[in-house]
Formats: sequence, structure tokens, C-alpha cells
Amino acid sequence: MSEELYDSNILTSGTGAVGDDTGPLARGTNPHPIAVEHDHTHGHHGLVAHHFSDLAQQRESGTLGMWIFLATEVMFIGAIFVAYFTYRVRHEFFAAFRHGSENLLMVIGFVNTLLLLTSSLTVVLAIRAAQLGNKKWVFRHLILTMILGAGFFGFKVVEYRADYNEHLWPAWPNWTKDTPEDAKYFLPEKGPYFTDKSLSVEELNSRLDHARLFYRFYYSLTGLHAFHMLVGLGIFAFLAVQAHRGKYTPESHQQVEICGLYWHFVDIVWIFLFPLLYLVR
Amino acid sequence: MSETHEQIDPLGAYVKVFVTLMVLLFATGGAYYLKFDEWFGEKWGFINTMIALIIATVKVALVMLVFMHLRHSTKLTWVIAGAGFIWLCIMITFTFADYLSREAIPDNVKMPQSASSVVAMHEPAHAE
Repeated sequence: MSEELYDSNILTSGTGAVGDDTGPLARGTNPHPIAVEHDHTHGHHGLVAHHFSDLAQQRESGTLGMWIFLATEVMFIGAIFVAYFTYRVRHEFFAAFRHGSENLLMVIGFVNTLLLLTSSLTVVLAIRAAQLGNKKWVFRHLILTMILGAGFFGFKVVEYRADYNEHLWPAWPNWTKDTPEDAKYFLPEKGPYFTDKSLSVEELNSRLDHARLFYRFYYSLTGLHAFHMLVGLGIFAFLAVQAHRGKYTPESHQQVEICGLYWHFVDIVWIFLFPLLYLVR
Repeated sequence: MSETHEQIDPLGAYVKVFVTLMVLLFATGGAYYLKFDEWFGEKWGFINTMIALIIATVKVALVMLVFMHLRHSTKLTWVIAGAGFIWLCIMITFTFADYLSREAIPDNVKMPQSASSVVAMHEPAHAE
């Protein structure tokens, strides 16, 4: 791509002929500007876009750009975490959060954490394979990452379905003593906290309202995370296709590196989500 | 870091970090069954949250330093990575400086609760 840009400059802004001082390369050291097209043998020249001075600067700029994006993501998701904590520290909400959390499928959360941590390992191994010039394993590790990511997503779908069937859907009305069995109602059934027979209707409603907030946080945080996973899977599908074409070499694999940063960030968000949603005590 | 070639980590470094992450994951799961609230009373339940958050922070630090190659990155990258963290800390500090201190305000400076006293408070000063 960089070479194309370079060449089009020659074609549009100068004749490129020897002795022509209007072309962009006329004052350079190369007396034959057109010959730049075949300059692949001279180090990494062809890999560096024309607005960078060398490969190291180009690499750092790309990485830095991704870090800046991730810093904005930290603020975005961090704000929801802070909102979650402002409620969780309050006594009446904490009890509902805790007993609401007991109704989530902790085993699936645990397995998903395991899958994501493993996928982070395969991402760095893909980068390492690219650094060592092992093109076959770049592709294989990217595919492994995608399988692990898709596994996470599959478990997430199974989990949402189970939650839905367990009446853990906060958009439905609260369960009351007169609610028919086949109606749609909101009630975390596990544990006696929300099903205590001795509770008055007001008390039960208040507890369920507090629990409802927990599930709203649960769905928005995990939903947002799942959306990031989907985007990540799309990006990695693109990377895998590129890797299959043998595009990533020891000199040029910045795409894997930068997209890897994004993938690790999604992993980091989940590392905090897991204890905060599934392990409330 | 040389001019054109980045640092290549040994495979062992990644495997070590991965094993540590797995151990910490199981530690997180195990710590859930330490029932501080039931053993020592409800006010000690926060220890569970603290343990879970400390383990999560260690995991995140490992991922960032080794997997995200922050330890080989330039100072400028550290500044950006740190900026997100520091701004998050500012948001948390200011938010909880408000929410957690509301109960600490002594009764005599709190807003009067009954409607009549609220009206009295808002009457112009010359009415006194």
C-alpha cells in the first residue's frame, strides 16, 4: 500500500524524469525516481508508509493509537463500573445484589474466564510466531483464538437463554403471590431471599426492585462485553485471512500486534466482570 | 529495543504468566467460599470483595505488562496506559467522596426532614 502511494505521487506531481526538479523525489539521493518501485531489496523501505521516518516509529505510532483508544474504552466501561459500585455499597442494594448474583450460572462465568485467558495466550503466541517468521503458526494461533472466542460467545448465549428461562429478565413485572405459574414474571428463585413466605408484599417488591437493578447491570455490562467480543471476532477473522495469505512477516505484523491489544483489553474487562457479577459476597 | 527489531519474549515467559493467571483464576473461585460475612459478622463481608478485586488487579497487571508488551513499550505508551487508569481513579475518588460521606454528616447540619421545617428554612431572613 505504501508503495502505491509513493508511486502515485510521482505520477501526479512530477514527470519523474531525470533532471526534472518538480517531482517529490527530485532532490533525493536517488537519481532515478521510478526505480524506487523496485526498492524492495533495500532494507525495510517498502514497509514504511511515507509519513513515517522508520519502521520503529511507525510501529510505535500504531501501538500508541490503539492505547489511546483503549484509554477511552476504560472511561466508557469504567463509568458503568462506578455506577454499579455506588449501588453495591448501599446496604439494601448489597443484599439484593448478593442474592441476585447467586442466581447466575457461576460455572459458565468461570469457564468463560478460563477460555478468555487462554485466548489471550494464543494471541501473544500468534504475535510471537509472526516475530519468528513462522507463518503457519500465526494462522493456527489466530484460528485457535477465534475458536476460544466463539466458545465464550456460545456459552454466553446458553447462559442468557438459561437466565431468561429462570425468570431473570428485569423487564418483566415482579412476581406476586397471585401471579399465575405460566405468566411472565421477574423472580430470582434460588435462595430464600426473594421467595421467603413470611415477607409482606411491599417488602418482597422492594427486594425484587433492588435485585432488578443488579440484573440491569448484569445485562448491560455482559452485553457490552459480548458486543466487544463480536467485534473482536470479526477483526480476528480478517487477521486469519491475511495470515493465511502469508502477509505477516517478522518485519510487518503490526496488525496482529494492535488487534491483539484490543483482544487483551476485552479480556481485562471480563477479568473484572467475573468477580463483580458472579462472585458477590 | 533495537532500531528495527522488536523484543521477542521467550516462550517460557508467556507460559509462566498463563499458569499464574490460571492459578489466580482458581484462587478467585476458591476465595468465594471463604464466608467472612458468616464467620465474623456481616461487616467483614467486604474482605471477600477486596480479595476478589486484588486478585483481578494482579491478573490485569500481568496481562498488560507481559501479554500487551507494556514492559517493552516506550514511556509515551506508559503515559497513555496510565492516563486511562488515573482518570478512572479520579472518577472513583470523587464519586465515592460524595456517596460514602453522606451518612457521615452529623445530624445537626443535615437538611431537616419534616415538611414544615423545610418551609421554615426557605423563608426569607426578615421573617425571623
